[in-house]
Amino acid sequence: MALVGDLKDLNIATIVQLNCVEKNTAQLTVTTRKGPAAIFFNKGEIVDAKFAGERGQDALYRILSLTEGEFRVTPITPPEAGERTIFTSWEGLLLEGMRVIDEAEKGKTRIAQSVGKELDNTPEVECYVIASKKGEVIVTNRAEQAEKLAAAAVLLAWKGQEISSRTALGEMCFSTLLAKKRLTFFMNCGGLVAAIVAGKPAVSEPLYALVDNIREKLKYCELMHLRHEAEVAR
Amino acid sequence: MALDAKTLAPKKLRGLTEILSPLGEVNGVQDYLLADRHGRILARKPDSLWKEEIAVAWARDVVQAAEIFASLSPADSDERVFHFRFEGAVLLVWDLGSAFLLALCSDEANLSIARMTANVVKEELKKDKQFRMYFDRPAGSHFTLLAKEAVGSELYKCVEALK
Repeated sequence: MALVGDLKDLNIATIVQLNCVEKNTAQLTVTTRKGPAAIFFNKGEIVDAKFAGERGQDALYRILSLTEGEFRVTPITPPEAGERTIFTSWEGLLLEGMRVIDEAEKGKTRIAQSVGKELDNTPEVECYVIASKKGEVIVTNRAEQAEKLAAAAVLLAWKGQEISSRTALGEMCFSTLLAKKRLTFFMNCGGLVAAIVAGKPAVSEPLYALVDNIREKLKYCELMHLRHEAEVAR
Repeated sequence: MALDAKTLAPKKLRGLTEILSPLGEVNGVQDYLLADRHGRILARKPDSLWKEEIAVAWARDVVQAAEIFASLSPADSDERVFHFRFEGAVLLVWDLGSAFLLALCSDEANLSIARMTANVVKEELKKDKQFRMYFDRPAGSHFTLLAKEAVGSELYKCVEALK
C-alpha cells in the first residue's frame, strides 16, 4: 500500500531513513514545481535518484533539500528500481546530504549579505529585507519593518505561484506595490524571498534593472551551484 | 456569454461591463475584470480567455494578494497599484477601495496606454451612481480571504506577522 503525504508534515530525510531502516524496496516520488523527483530503494539501499534532468547522487542531494511537495512511497519489485547509479551506503549519503544542505544555507547567507551591501550602496533604496522562505530574516537595513516585509514577501511568493499555475502565465518574476510615492518590489528566487522599498523616481528603469540584477544573484543560491562551489573549495 | 451566480453583480450593476469595455480596445490587454473585496467578480471581459471557474479562483488569488499589499500601506494612503510580472505577461491591479480592477497584459502591450485607459475607466466608475452606492459601504476588515483555513497553519504565521 502506498504511503502518501506532504513534506510540510514529514521531512524528506525522515522518509528516506524510514525506507532504509525498514529495508524496503520502493520508489519515493515527490511532486515539485520542477517536475517529479524520485528515489529508488532496493532492500533498504538507495540505488538511484532522478530529479530535474539529473541522476544519481547529485539528484539525490537536490531531492534531500526539498521542503515542499506531495510525496508518495510505492512498493516496487527490484527490476523496477532500474539501473543502479548510487553505490554509497544510505547512512553516508544522508550525512553528506545534510552537509551539502548546511553548506547551501551558509552560502545563501553569504549571497544575501553581498546583495545587502549592494542595496546599502543604492541611494534610491530606503529599506530592504532578504529572508528564508519561512520568513526568517537573513539580512535587512531596517529591523523594525523587516519581519512584516518578510512575511508579506513569503505570502506573495505563495500567491504568485498559485496565480501562475492557475492561468499558465509562467513563473512570477516579481510583484510591485506602488503607494504613497513608494515602489516596493517583492521577489522569490533561489529559495529566498526579498522585499525592496524605494522612493518612486521619475524614471523607474534603473530600479527595474537593479531588481533584475538582484534576482540573478539570488538565483545563485540554488543548491547545486553551491555544491559545486563547495567541491571546488575542497 | 452566460454568467452564473458566482460572477453576477447585483442587477443594478450590470452596466459596469460597458464602463470597463475601453480596456478591451487596448492592444495587448488580454483580459480584465472587476472584483469586490470578497473576490466576487462583478464584471468581466465579455469574451474572456478564462473559464468561469478559473476566473473566479484567479480573482480570489488576486484579492488575497491585494490584502497582503494593503497591510503594508494604510487605507488612507494614495491610491494603490499592484503589478505582478510573470515570464510572458503583466497583471495590473488597481485598488479602488472596495473593489479591484484587474487587467492582464501581454509583454507586447503598451502599459502606459493600458494605465491611462484604466484611469479613464476608474473615473467613469466613480461617476456611476449605482457603483458609488454599492462601493461606499465599509470595506470591512483586512485579511477576510486570508483566514487560517484558507492559507494553512504554516503560512498563517506570516499573516499574523502582518497584523
